[in-house]
Amino acid sequence: MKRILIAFTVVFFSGMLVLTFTARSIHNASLPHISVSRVTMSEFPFEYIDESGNTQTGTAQKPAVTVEQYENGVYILYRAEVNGELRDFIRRAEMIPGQEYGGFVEVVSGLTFSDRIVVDSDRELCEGEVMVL
Amino acid sequence: MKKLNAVIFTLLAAVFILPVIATVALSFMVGGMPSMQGYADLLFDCFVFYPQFWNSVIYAAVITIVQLAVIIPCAFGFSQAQFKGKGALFVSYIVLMMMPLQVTILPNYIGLRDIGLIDTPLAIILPAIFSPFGVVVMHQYMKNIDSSIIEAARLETNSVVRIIITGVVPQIRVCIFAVVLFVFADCWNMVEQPMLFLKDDSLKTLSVFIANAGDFSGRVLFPAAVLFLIPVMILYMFFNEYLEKGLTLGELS
Repeated sequence: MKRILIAFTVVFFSGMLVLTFTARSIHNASLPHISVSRVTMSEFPFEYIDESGNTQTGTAQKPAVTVEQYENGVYILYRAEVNGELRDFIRRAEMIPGQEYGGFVEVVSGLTFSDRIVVDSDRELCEGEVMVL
Repeated sequence: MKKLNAVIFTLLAAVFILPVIATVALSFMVGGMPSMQGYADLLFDCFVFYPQFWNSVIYAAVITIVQLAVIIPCAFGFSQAQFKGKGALFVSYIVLMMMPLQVTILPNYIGLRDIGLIDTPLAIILPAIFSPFGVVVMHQYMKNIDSSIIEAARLETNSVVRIIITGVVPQIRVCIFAVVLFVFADCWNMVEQPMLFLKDDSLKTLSVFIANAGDFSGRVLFPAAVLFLIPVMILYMFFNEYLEKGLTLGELS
């Protein structure tokens, strides 16, 4: 009986010690790994009428996401406290697109410059999922 | 009559054990279905748990060991030494032991704050080391130890420490085990002191983790409570045979 108890004690505390150092790595390995960046600026053409009344084409810098990002869904990273610590989550942005030019889609609304958007992920993303940067 | 007593005491024991059984059973259930998800969430998704678990282990172990080093000489002094005011001093120990924690916790806080120990592990360890409980229990036990062994030890050495180690400790071994169990369990379960004396979450204990269950996902509460039970259960199973003897005065081998 005493031997079983000693064995159980050793197993319990060894297990707790091992988990103390490995639990976070195990947890992180099970989560999607992503890369994020700020909303980029891209040049978009626009037409204007000059002083002599002719229609001219110019370019303007506007916030944009890539066409690929737009098609796959734009996800914004946000932080929230879960189980006593801050974690990174994603939510799908309700972005209103403008014109498409040079591989970029103009952001009319739904994203701000302070938003960090997901640019790369090692697996498919889901709304409200915890992420590892 | 004996059978009736047996039934009554079995029922009472069942009433006492029921919350423990319920805790263990509920730890393996999520949403009314059997599941290990609660343990998975606790062990792999709730990392505050680990430092608080080890804090509980370290605080309880350090307090128990250091408290033994304090209470054995203290109880030896009360039982063997003759000095003025001994009775009054011992009564003050008993009064202190009887005082509810809520009475002493504020003076403790003020003292710890003034010496700058708030939010350090010493804020938990230091006041707990000088708990009067062990002294009172051990003193009662030491009153009945064989004084001829102490006299014999005195002939060999003048060192009180050596007399205690060679002449006293072997005689009160059973009582030491019982006191260890009580002191460890007391330290393991303390909630108010870590909540009041510690602000840094990484210094707090597992009892605080359970007390703040609302901050965590509901599924981790029961698994945490089960893991909280295990160290004290282990200690109890190691020392249970000494518990009764240790608290029974005068029962010496």
